Amino acid sequence: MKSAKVLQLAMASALGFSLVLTGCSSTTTKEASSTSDSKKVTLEFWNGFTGPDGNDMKKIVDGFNKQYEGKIEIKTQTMKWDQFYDKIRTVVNSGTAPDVAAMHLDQVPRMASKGVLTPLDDLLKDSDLKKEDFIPQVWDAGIYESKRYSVPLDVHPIALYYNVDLLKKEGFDKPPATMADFVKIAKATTKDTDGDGKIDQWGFGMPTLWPANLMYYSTLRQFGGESVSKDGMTALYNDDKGVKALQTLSDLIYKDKISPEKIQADGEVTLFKQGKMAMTINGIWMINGFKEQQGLNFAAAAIPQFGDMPATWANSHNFVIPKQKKDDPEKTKAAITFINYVTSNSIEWAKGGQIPAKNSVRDSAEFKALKEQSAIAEQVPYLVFPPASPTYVDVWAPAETAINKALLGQMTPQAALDEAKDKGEKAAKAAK
Amino acid sequence: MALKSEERTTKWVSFVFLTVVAILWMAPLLWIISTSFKPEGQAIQLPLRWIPETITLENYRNVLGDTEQSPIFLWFGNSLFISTLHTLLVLIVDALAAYAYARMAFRGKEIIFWTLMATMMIPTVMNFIPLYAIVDAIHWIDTPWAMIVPGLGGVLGIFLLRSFYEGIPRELEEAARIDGASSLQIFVRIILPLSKPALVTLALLTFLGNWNDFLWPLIVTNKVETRTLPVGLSILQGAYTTQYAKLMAGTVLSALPVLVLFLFSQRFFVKGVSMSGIKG
Amino acid sequence: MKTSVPVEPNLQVSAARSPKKSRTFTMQSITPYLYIAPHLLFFLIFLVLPTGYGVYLSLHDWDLLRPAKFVGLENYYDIFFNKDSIDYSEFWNACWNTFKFVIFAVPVLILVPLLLAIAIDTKTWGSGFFRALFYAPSLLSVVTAVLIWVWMFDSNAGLVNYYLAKLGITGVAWLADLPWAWIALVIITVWWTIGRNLIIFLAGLNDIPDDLHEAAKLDGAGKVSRFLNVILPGLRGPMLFALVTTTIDSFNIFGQSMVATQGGPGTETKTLIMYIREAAFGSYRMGDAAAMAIVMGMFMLIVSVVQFGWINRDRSGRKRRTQAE
Repeated sequence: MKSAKVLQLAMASALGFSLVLTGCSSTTTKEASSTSDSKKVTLEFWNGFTGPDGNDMKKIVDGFNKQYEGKIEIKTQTMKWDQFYDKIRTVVNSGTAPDVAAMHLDQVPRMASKGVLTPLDDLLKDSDLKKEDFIPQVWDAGIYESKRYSVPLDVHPIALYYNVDLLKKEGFDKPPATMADFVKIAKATTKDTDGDGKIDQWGFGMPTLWPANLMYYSTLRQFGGESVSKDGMTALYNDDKGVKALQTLSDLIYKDKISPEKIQADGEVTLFKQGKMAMTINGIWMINGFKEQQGLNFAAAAIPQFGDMPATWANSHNFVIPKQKKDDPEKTKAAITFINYVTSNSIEWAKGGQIPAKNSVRDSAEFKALKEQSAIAEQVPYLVFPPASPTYVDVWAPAETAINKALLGQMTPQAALDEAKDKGEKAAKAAK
Repeated sequence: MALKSEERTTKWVSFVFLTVVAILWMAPLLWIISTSFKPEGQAIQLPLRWIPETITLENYRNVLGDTEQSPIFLWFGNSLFISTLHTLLVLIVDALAAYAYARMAFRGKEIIFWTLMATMMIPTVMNFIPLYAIVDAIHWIDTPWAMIVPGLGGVLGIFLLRSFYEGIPRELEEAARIDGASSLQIFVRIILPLSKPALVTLALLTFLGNWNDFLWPLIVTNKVETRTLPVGLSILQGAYTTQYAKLMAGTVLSALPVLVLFLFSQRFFVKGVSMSGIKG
Repeated sequence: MKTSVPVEPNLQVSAARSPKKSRTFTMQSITPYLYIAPHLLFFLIFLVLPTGYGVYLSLHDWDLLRPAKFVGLENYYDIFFNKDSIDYSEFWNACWNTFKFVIFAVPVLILVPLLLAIAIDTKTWGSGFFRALFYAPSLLSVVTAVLIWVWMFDSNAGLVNYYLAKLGITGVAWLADLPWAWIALVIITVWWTIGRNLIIFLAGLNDIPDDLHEAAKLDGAGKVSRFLNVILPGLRGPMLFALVTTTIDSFNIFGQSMVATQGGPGTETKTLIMYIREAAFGSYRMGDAAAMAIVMGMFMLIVSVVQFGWINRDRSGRKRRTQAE
């Protein structure tokens, strides 16, 4: 059954795709019109870009719709990511799946294993979406059980943001690269500015919720630890490396005392924006939000290295083609055209706070001109992505709760991570 | 005299107490209005200011302008359409059925009626998963029907209306019947007009319940354009994390229409809710 | 909740008298069914069917995509006894959290509106305004109400901590720390929902005859004694109604913790509905979720039955008292 469909698609692609897929330059328009004689294809495109990134995507989609006017039209549906992941499976089930969707890298294997996604190998064969033009870790991460299910659009690592003025005031003109430097700068900038005996300016803000999990993942990998086993059934994060990583983060709050305790969701972002915090670690997507803040003079850099080797958490938005009840080659063809267009025009996307996954875009002068983005992109060689396993998400999710509990001081890192391992492995079993 | 002065003290004490609570009650509303007019960069600036340093409509322009991602008016319209139609249908269906249970004799009446009443005890949580499967099977996901129709099976309205009908003197119906009026005529011309207060109560309860429902619309809507206001607003929360000024502009926009409506129809609301309490 | 339904003889009598006996009899006997049919149809499809289907699902493993697999009582066994199942720990955690909320919230949700109602009932200046103001938030959707308070409770730029600091009290992480997260959730719920109970109490107070107050006053009863002997007994009916409905609503808490705390810190404020929804639509474990929903429903049913029992005992008690007078 399955292979028959794939075969069908392969045939279709051999017959007609190559013409359309050879590029997205102006010539494509003509060719597209000659192959699909005046029949307009409307594609539904789902994503979770509810933030400012939604506007950036809209610009790109508008550009696409304009270029392919009368041939392909993209209709976008945006919802919160967690809702998106809940829904995508139910709509595939009821046969109302979107024609193309964006999805995080770590969700791809899970969705692929549940039969939500269409394998893309044959569809991509004749396109110019090729491994050589992408960051290799990301490109390879789209493969599940030797089939490709996704095409990466970007990578979005975390980064260190620092308040240039506050650092300068204490005599620092460079962001920290090592743990020692980091603590030194943070201690120097943690102080009581109005002399009431209470600290009102902090060197750093160690969040207790998201993105603490991203920092933990980076630190874990820096210490040489692993999150979840390859088969996705065993949690590895509670070994001594994992405990050490979490202890390191917890020490920033309780031992070094360079971060306020019990930071509420996004509280560190507010403090950083208010100019009451010298450094914060958050995703690359925060750039424009910080730029919007009046009177905040900030810069971005690679995150400091807490462990033994460099490693920075990153995730990636990927294009996927959800499985349809009835395959429509016209539509899948158009979807590939769309994917190719967006990845090639991802410089607009980068401006919103992303690093293009495509090398050609990332090496362009236009991208290099984006000061913060290109500074953060220096981490590309040692970015670490979540492992490709369908149950990774299930095993990992309780670790985020454990991080929360440990950083709130409710549990020791070891106890919290042990508890998470137990829950995560049970959840993985239930999900299987 | 002693009584009078005591009454006076009571009045004063009550007034002070109520004023204090009222300030607490109003503060959040005033605060979000204030925030929504501040430029994003000033929303979190300290010291906090009730009157914005700079007043801007930028947030409203932003939230309203993005009709693709946050079509607030469309969501509002969806909510209004769904809740209104749902309420109307509940009234029709329940008014008819309750009349039969209150005034007519028929076979199986007792059994059916008490079966209905027994299901009132079934917590709604037990049904939402199977109901999803059913609604999905009849392809109602992402249609207004998913939010309009399933609630029509509810029995609270029947219970309320039936006990109200029973309080209406029978003589009126007898007289009409002697004049040769049909059962439907009696129902429409006599019973319905007399039950106006009960119908208004039921209408308000139904409308509000449907309007404020969050869990069910969240489950059965996928597309931006089919969402109701509460679900839509929860997307805004994701869209504007840490952008409080814009988020609060969206919140104000969602709250305003209901509060304005309330200003004009306050008495009905109050009457309706108090009646539901007594009847229950 | 009357237990006897008055029988209406008229229809049958007129039918019997009718000349075209058989035909009219049929018409007459069909009429009632026509009245109840539309409702009954919806009732069967959207209430009875799902209830049965829910039981069916709870005996199966179903992930929405593959066909459902019959597993007998395994889903229930997992919840109650299987220590190796994820639901064993998480369901009971969520259950305990929900109970906590019910226990914290219900008394406050009864007491605050009761006090406000008594104050408003003194017919003090602007009482109409106060009543309207306290009722108004309950018209907002849960998301609106909670978002307002998320902003109020923001630890660095929120109004609450700002004014606490002015009073010399160090602010807390309202939504990130215990017990503050629970307190915040209760505050949000109180602000949002007391309107209904307030109005029910006001109506109840209105029904207490003035001469009872006067008589008590003449007897020299103080305020406290009047509250205990006149107001409280007079409000018993509305009070129990408020108690039952508030308890049911509190069990169903979902929007508040979903929007304000996302179940945190850790999973300390994750409630039953949150967990069940997550199991169903996050992990696609429809069978497990259906079983958990049924167990939760049973708990609520038990609590409701106990409370209804109270009402009925109370009603009969009141009747006896009235007769004695």
